[in-house]
Formats: sequence, structure tokens, C-alpha cells
Amino acid sequence: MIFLWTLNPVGSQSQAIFAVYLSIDLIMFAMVSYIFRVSKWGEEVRRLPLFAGCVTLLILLYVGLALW
Amino acid sequence: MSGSEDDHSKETGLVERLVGWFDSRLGLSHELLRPAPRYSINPFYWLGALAVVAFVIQGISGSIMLLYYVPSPATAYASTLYIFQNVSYGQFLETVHLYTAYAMIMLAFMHMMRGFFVSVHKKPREIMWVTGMGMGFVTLGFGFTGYLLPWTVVSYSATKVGTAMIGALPQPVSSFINFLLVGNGGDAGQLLRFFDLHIVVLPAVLLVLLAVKMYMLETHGVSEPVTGEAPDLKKHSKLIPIFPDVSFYLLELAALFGAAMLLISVLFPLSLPVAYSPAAAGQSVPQPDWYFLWIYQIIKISAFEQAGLSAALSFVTLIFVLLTILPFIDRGVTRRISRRPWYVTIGLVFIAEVIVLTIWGQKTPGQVIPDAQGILVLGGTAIAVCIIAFNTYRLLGRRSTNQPLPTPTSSPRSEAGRIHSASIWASVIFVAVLGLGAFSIGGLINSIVVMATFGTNEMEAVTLALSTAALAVSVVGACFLLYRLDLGRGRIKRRVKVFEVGWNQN
Repeated sequence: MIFLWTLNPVGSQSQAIFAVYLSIDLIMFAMVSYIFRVSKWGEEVRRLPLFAGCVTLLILLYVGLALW
Repeated sequence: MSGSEDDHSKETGLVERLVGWFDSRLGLSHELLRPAPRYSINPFYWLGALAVVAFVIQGISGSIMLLYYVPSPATAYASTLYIFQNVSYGQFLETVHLYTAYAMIMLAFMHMMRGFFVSVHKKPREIMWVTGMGMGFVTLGFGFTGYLLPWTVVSYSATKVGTAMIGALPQPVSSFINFLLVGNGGDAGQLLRFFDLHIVVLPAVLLVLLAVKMYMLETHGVSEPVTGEAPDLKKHSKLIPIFPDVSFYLLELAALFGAAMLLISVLFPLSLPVAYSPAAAGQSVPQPDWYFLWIYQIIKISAFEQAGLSAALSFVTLIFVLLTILPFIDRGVTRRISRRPWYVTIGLVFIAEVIVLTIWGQKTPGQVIPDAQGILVLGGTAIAVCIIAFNTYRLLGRRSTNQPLPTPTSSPRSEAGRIHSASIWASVIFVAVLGLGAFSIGGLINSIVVMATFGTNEMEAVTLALSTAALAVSVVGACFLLYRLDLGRGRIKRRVKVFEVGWNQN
């Protein structure tokens, strides 16, 4: 949040960086919530959604840094 | 005592303790909402909930923009441009607001069609369906009213197209809607009314309808999966409490949806078109936004273009009315998709036609569509979908009943050849029958519209008679073919002798 706070909030490039990192936060939340929920139900945590999430996060991190 | 409490708290995790804290203060796990069955933990059951999430995002982003937007023709564009250029994350907010609006409309449509195919409109959820249709109309209203607010040349022209179409509706409907949307204040009055509808009236109506729908959802529960006529709920897996389990699932979906909206906003950032002015409007082609493009494309067909506009709008209104009263039309008990071929086919044709009309409308802005082209494209789409659906049901029917097509006994090789030949001929004849039906419907509508517009003449009367006869032949022909198919499978309950002419019983 401190990092995002340092961005220029009016420039379109900065807004794109903000959007990318906010989406990273949301995807991470979704993954953690998935693991918590499925573990609580006693079911097996499937690897495919986690793998897809991690790949997406890596791509978005790279995009965020590239925009920066 | 305190030592054992400390030991117990150490055993439970942080999240569990947090959830427990909220639960003990708010009583969320105590019958707030009925538990959800395990089978409903599936994104397709939550399309409506995601549409509500989209609505919440719209409310938040819209509330922030409301701090800067001024609803008058002189300042609407300037204040929107100010948000874009000077407000922190203004362009981002505008872009998210637009794409989430699109997503809300798309999710509402998907939610409706999913419900249509799995028959959620059947007893006892008829009123839920009607309420949901009301919410769908309100969602379209959001799109229509919100589109005008930036006061760009594109939005002004598109809204003028829409309000002109409303003017073609029959009285007193047209006068009432005109009073609601335009009043007597000209552009300023219209903008203010659209603004009022967009931020006050429509959200209030949507929230009321949502409350009604949620109450009925609590009453009836989630619809059962389409696995049989009388599913035994005990056989389905456990019931999941709404808090915290299902709530976490909804938060997961909402987080992924939000991330998708953010990334789409990054990939396709919004740029504001030029402000409205009569000179700029003269140079732009009026075109509604994509979710109304299918209606506009129907109206652009030349038979409907001028005096036939009322007929076109009545036709579109009829579609919406039929969708709304669907529970009172489709009274069958069965919910299985495999046993509802007619309704499933109609639903698929509807989706295909809407998609084709939307893409076609995007490709032909401002162009009048010749009648023949309209009949070919729409008729061809319907025929193609019907063929695919027909053959899919034949395949499913053959697999489920395991019945071969009845043929006279002969050698296996010639029998297989006869079955193959019979299948090909049946398909060809069915395509021809459907094609004849599509063209005859188009000719019929064209004749009626021309006669209503320009008066009766001999040529049109002959065309009308021929189209009616062709339509009758195609309907009878389709019934004949389908009767023969069911006769072959032994599914006929009421025999029609005239359709069994030439049928070999052995």
C-alpha cells in the first residue's frame, strides 16, 4: 500500500500499475480463501487452480514491474 | 480456568478465532440464511450473485464519481473530463465503472439463460423468475440511462436512437415513457431525469426486487441439479453453512471477478469521445451500445426501417413478454435438458440470433439491411442451430434408449447402408423443411408489413397466400418427420394414421 501510495494517481501508467497490483492482491486472497475453505471441508486441495493462480501472479508481477 | 482457555485458544487458528469472534457478536451462523447444498458450490449457481457484486462495484465507483460530476448539458462533459484528467485514479474509476456495467449485463444474461436451460422457472419458483426478469430490465435500464451521462457525441446520438424507438411504441405507453425519460425540459430535463433514474430510482427498484428474490430463495432454497425427476436431497452431499463457508466461496468468486475487471481495465483503457454538439453529431453514425445492438439491427432491416418500426418494436416486446411469462407457458414437469428438446432448441436459437445480430450490427453501422439478407442471415442461423440441436438429441436419444433405427430385416451390410441412407435423406428433408419455413416466415412478415404500410394490392395478397401455404407445409412437414422419428423409437402415445402412410411395421 505504501508502494502504491507513492504512485502518481493521475497518470494513466500509474493507474495501470495500481490496477495490476490490486488484482494481484485479489488473486492472492482468492487462492488463500480456496485453500482455507477446501481444507475446512476435508476435501483435497486441487493443484491445478493453485498452479494457474501462481502462474498468473508471476505474469502480473512481471507486468507490474515492466510498467514501472 | 484461564490456563485451559489459553490452551484452547492456542489450538484454534487465527482465522477460526476471527470468524468465531464475528459469529458470536453478529450471530451470523445462527439461521441467517439457510445452508447451501454442496452441489451449489459451482460458479454457475452464483452468476446472479456475481451480478450483485458488479452492482456493488458500480455503486462504489459511481459514488466517488458523483463527487465531481455535474448533470447539466453545459457541464456534464466538462466534469467527466475533469474526472478523467484531474481526479486521483479518475480514468481508472471511469474505466472500471464502464466495464463492470458491461459485465453486470452479461452476467444477468448468463444467469437468465442458465436458469432457462435448467428450468428454474418451474414450480415453485415462477415468481422468482418473473422477479429476476424485472431485475434484468432494470439492469438494462442502468445501461441505457448511464450511457447518456458523459454527454459525448456517441452517447447523445445513441440515446436519441433509443428515445426515438420509444416514440414508435403504441400510445399511451409511448407518452408515459417519454414523460418519464424526457419530460418537458428538453436536453437539460432529459439529462436530469436520466441522472435521477440512474442513481436513485433504478437502484432502489433493484434493491427491492433483490430483497424479494432473496426472500424467495430462502423460502425455496437452491434449485436441485437436473439429474432426475424427483431428486433425493439426502443423496446429495452435505449442507454447507452460509457463514463462514459459503461466504468465503462468494468472496473468492468476487475477488476473481474484481481482478478480471481490473485487468480488463488495464488492457482496454477508456478514452472519452468528443463532446456532443450538433456539428459533431452530424458527422457521427448513431449506434447504441452493444447490449442493444441486436434490437437495433432488427429495426434496421428494410421492412421495419420506416413505417414498420412499430411492428419491429412490438416483435421485440413480444420476445421480452414471452421470456417473462415463461413459467406460465412451459408448464411441463420435467426439468431434464434431454427431455426438453423444443425449449432447449428455442433457447439456443435465441442466443445464436442475439450474438449474430450484435456482431452484424457492429459490422454494419448505419446501414439499412435488405430484407433478403435479413432472412438469409437470421433464417440460416436458426436452421444451423436447429440442425445441430436435432442431431444432438438424436444421438442422445439413441444412446439413452439403445434402440436401433427400425428397418426391414436383411443382410447386416445392406441394413447398415439403408440406415445410413435413411439418415442422410431424413437430414436433407429436414433441412429443406426448415429452410422453407424460415423463408415463408420472412415472406409472411414482409407481406403483412408492406400491406399495413402501403395498403393491399394483388401482388402482396398473392405473396401473403403463398407464404402462408409454404409455412403450413413446412410445419406439417416438420411434424411428419418428427412423428416418424418417434414412431421408429416406439415413443408415440397417440397414433396419427395419415403420418404413417408407407410405414413398414415389420
